[in-house]
Amino acid sequence: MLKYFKIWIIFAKVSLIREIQYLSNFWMSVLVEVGYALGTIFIFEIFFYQVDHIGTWTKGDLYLVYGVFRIFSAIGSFVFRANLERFNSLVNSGEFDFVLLKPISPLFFSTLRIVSFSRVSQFLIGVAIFLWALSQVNLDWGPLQIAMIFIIIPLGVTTRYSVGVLINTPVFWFERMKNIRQLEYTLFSSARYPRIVFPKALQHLLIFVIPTLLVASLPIEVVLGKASIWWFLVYFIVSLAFLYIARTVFYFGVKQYNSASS
Amino acid sequence: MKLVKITSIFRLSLQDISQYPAETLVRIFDNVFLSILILMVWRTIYQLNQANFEMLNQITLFYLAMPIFSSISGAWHGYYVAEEIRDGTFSRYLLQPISFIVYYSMQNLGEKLYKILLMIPFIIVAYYLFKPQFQISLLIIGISLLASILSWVFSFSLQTLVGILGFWLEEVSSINELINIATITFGGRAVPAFLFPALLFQAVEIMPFRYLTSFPVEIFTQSLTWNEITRGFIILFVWLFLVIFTSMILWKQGLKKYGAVGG
Repeated sequence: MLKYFKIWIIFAKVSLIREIQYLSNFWMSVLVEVGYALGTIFIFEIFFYQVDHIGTWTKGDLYLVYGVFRIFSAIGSFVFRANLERFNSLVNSGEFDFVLLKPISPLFFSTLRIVSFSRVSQFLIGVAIFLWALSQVNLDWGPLQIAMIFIIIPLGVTTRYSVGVLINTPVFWFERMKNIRQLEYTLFSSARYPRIVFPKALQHLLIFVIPTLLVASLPIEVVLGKASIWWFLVYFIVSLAFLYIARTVFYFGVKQYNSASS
Repeated sequence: MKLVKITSIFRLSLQDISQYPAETLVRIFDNVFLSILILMVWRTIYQLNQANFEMLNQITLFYLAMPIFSSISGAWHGYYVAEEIRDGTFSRYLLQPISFIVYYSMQNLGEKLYKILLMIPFIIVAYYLFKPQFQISLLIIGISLLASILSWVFSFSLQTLVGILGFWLEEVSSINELINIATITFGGRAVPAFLFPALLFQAVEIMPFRYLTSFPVEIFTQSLTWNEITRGFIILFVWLFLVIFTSMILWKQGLKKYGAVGG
């Protein structure tokens, strides 16, 4: 474990050096992140221009979900998103050969090698939205609520990573899946909205099959006292189950891999 | 002879995309899912607050029509043109007797046709699930189709302009992302322009983003008055002229620069 952490630190240093070399790309990424956040805030404001609340959800509640969503998305983007974005070309170009030759886990190397420092802005935006939303909601803060907030983030990152790996793994079977990375983004865009928005059947699908509602909306419901605390246990189990499934499917896919030249 | 070249590219594009149905299905799912997702948010807002049924029906129709119309008006070649300029493969368009605009437009149309055909079953299922009620005249269908063809020309021209920027910029994907954000936000993908407050609607009306996707859908869902439709067409033509004019100037300048780099 320590060995992998040391390797990851080296990956992070190399990534930082590369990002400093292309500072204009860095600033463009910051601009895009700010644009996405402002775009979503604009859309939420239009929602609440029409109505005062969505069911039992107030504007503050919705922003709290969005803040958490931005924070774990930012951490996910910082740690693995760029890797998943180029996973398709890594496999199709045959470069995955070199991954298999390395004396470390192919999953680790192919999904955690590039660290995106430009996503720090996304994290800061998420924290700002989260803090603002906290001031808007009626919440009695106790140790349990604070502990839950700290659990939500790593579980959210883990779940997003697992789903990201699962979505990208079909590349081992299908030759060209350039746009599959967009699918992960689209599916997780549902994580920004409260559960009540979706019909019951879809809610179950988005909790147990593609667990997007588990990463932000449902745990925030628990924190706000709108849902049972048992959902946290469900979240914990589903999150770990997905990590296990993602790892298993990935290595099953690796067995199907044929180098591009063969 | 020229027609043979054009139809060949179109046919090749269809063949190419039909070789990878999984990729196309993912794209279609992506497009339809986003629309349905936002539709569900709006339906919840309206149903929980018992707002007017007519507006809810109009919103439902808007989001069910959006994937088809956005597929008709979509263009995405800017990134590829810029990449070709960067790696030098763009030279083939300068040496071969075919314009890159003809090449990419035929490729775009081939992909579009295939995508729309595959999308129809998804839309039928979504229509069956949400059951919007509507009556529409042939005139409105005709005008909305005309608007979507013009939106495609505008979208294609804008992407060409983005691609031409590749003569100067290392990468243009961030520019595309910014256009995408603006189109989602102000262009009606997330919120139909007819739900904006009046003052905001006036601002959005003169921005270019609405004419990349939403304008034909607004006509189709009969959300606009005849005055607003006429004004929309005029603004669309003004933006189209500006983009084409800027592209032509930048193309001439860029070509000189490209020649210098390529030696």
